[in-house]
Amino acid sequence: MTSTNHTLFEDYLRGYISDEEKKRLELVLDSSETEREEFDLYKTMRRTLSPNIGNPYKERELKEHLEELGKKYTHEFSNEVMEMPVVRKAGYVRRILSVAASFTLVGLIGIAAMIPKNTSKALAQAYVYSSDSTAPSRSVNGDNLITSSEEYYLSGMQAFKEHKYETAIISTRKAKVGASPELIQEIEWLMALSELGLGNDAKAKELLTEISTDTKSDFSGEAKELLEDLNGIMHRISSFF
Amino acid sequence: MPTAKTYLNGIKQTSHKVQHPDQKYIEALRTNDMILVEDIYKNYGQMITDLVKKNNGNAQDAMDLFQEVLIILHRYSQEGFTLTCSLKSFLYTLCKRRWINELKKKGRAETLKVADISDLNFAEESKESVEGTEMYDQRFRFCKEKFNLLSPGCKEIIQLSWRKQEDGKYCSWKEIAEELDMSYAYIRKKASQCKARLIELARKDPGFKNL
Repeated sequence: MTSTNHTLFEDYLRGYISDEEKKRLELVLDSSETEREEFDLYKTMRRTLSPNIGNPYKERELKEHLEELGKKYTHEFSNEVMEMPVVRKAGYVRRILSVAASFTLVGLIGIAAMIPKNTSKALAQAYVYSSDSTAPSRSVNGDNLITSSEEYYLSGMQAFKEHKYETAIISTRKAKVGASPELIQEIEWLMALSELGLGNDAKAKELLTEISTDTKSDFSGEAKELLEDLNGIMHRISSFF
Repeated sequence: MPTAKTYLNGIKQTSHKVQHPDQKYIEALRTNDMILVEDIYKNYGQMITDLVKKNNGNAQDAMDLFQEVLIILHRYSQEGFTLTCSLKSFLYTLCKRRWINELKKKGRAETLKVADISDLNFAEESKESVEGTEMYDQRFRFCKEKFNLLSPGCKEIIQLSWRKQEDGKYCSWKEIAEELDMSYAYIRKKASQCKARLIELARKDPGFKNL
């Protein structure tokens, strides 16, 4: 295979080739498996890459627009819950099962009402209010000027208090950029509590484990305590209901 | 044995599939029709957000996933992707599969809570389109990775040789030579060498057999 063949492939695919050259190339491709494989690979790479590489501006333009739409709709979608459509199949057995399920549900609700409230949300709110260091009104760096990290942190704190956990997580993520080590400790604690508020227990536990094992963190003790609560039997029962 | 002509016509063979009316959204992604693209967000963004939120993610993760999938569709649409099912089923199944992979990477896939009857119907309906898209994405990432290994000079020449003008035609070698202020013969030779290098990089990777 000589390197000139790739230009010939290109000319062939563009249709910029004389009839004589075309016949010669097709003969080579039909008779040599190696040449055909080389041509096939070239064609695949050209087909796959040419729209993207040949016109990168188009994709960039779409990306910018999608990012704007993402920002616009993230908040809107985070506050709504839409049920997935369920395909309904009518039938005698199905109806009986539905009635049985309804009775079971009523029974479970009754039991749930008797169990002390120890859900993830309740735990998160209880812990944030028990901690002086995360009071939203205090100035974080002690100066009159507030940094953007602190601003995001405080708005995250506010969102958390209003039970807008999704917004709190977004704000804390932004707050982390350029934050001081002391503030990062507070941010991580708020992040963990927000994940918990959102019901993402697994993620919350992951963050809490990190905090609890960080000996420098002011929140390691509280994180350990909260982890114990989360792993406790009452929380499991509450979560089940 | 297939002849060179059948190889050349390979690209056109995909056009025989039956298009779903939602193909208009794929076309919108191809042409960057911002109004219809926003409709995709309005109609299906909430569904994807709920899917991700139920499975260890948040609204931001959902929007990132959604954007990633729409970019893949934009790329695939340039190649002539035909949607054979509803966009709803397609997006739901593709996003779900990608999110499962994301969770697997983080070791949290065991908590997935998406298997219900509508989920299974969606998966069945969109199987062909979703699998085709995943294969395309795999192919694209493979090719782009090899392209990125080339020298800046080679990248520029290949980029120009694959660039289409407004009339849909490729730039001629003469135009490329003028743009780069090089001779016609040198450009052809250099383009050949660069493309040979690109193919060589692909061939060295065992993954090329899956293309």
